[in-house]
Amino acid sequence: MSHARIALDPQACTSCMLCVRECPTWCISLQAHQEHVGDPGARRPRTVNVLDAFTIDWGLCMYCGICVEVCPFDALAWRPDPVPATADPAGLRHGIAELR
Amino acid sequence: MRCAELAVPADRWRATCAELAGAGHTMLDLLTCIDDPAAGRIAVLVHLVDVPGRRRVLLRTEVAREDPVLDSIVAVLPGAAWHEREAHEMFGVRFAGNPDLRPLLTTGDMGFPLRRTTPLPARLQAAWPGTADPADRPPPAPPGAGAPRTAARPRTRLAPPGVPAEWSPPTPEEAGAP
Ligand code: SF4
Ligand code: SF4
Repeated sequence: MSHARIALDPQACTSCMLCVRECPTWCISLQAHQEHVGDPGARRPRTVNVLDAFTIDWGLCMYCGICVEVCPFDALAWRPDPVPATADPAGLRHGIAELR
Repeated sequence: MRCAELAVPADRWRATCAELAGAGHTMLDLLTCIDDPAAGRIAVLVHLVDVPGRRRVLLRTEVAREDPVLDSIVAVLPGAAWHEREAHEMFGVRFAGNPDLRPLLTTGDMGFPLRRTTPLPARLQAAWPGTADPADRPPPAPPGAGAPRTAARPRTRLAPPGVPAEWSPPTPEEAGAP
């Protein structure tokens, strides 16, 4: 497996923020909110994080792999196809759709 | 390929490099420094490889942070010239005997960028994304529910790892925002 870029599995991500906080170049950001799940009549409804946005800025990423290592839920993984070139730096900020 | 690790006093630096090169470690892979402000020292490291012999050595020495001077190893391993030039620019180590220590990237007015005590302007200007917390956006209270019985758990303000507290940009409250 070549380390050309990183893929996100949004179903596996629990929005735990570990990768965001460990990334040395501060190039990951995410937004999430909480929702109740389970039996609405339960006395203490369970709360889960729901991922709204997840962005990696490939213009800042140095491909160190710390985020892949640190993710406890295997939501991040190396993928072999490189990030396509863009004419505009904003095009290097990939959201959930591009990171899938 | 196993890597032997070796530490020598600064006055043995050039002689040890010469001995290693003479013993076949002729490929200079890396020369760099590690700043240790707490100990007041800067470590200088060189990674030498004996390619046909499939051996490598990580040689280390230390110099005082106040007056970091070390013998240049350019006479032994000419490829070290550029690395020493870079280490001089980034860490302020002077390599006695290196003929060309001109800076490569900086203009010399921002200190030594890779010393741990040099603030990184980009870190001061950028907002750390790690302060966001999903718990800041809790689910709406069910209709008819009274005030939550437990107060929100106070959370300590997280700081970006590796950034000294005195570098952190002020919070809106600290900055006096309304
Ligand atoms: S590979 Fe390194 S720099 Fe890139 S997003 Fe992951 S932790 Fe950040
Ligand atoms: S470490 Fe993994 S689970 Fe946690 S926020 Fe990052 S990608 Fe999601």
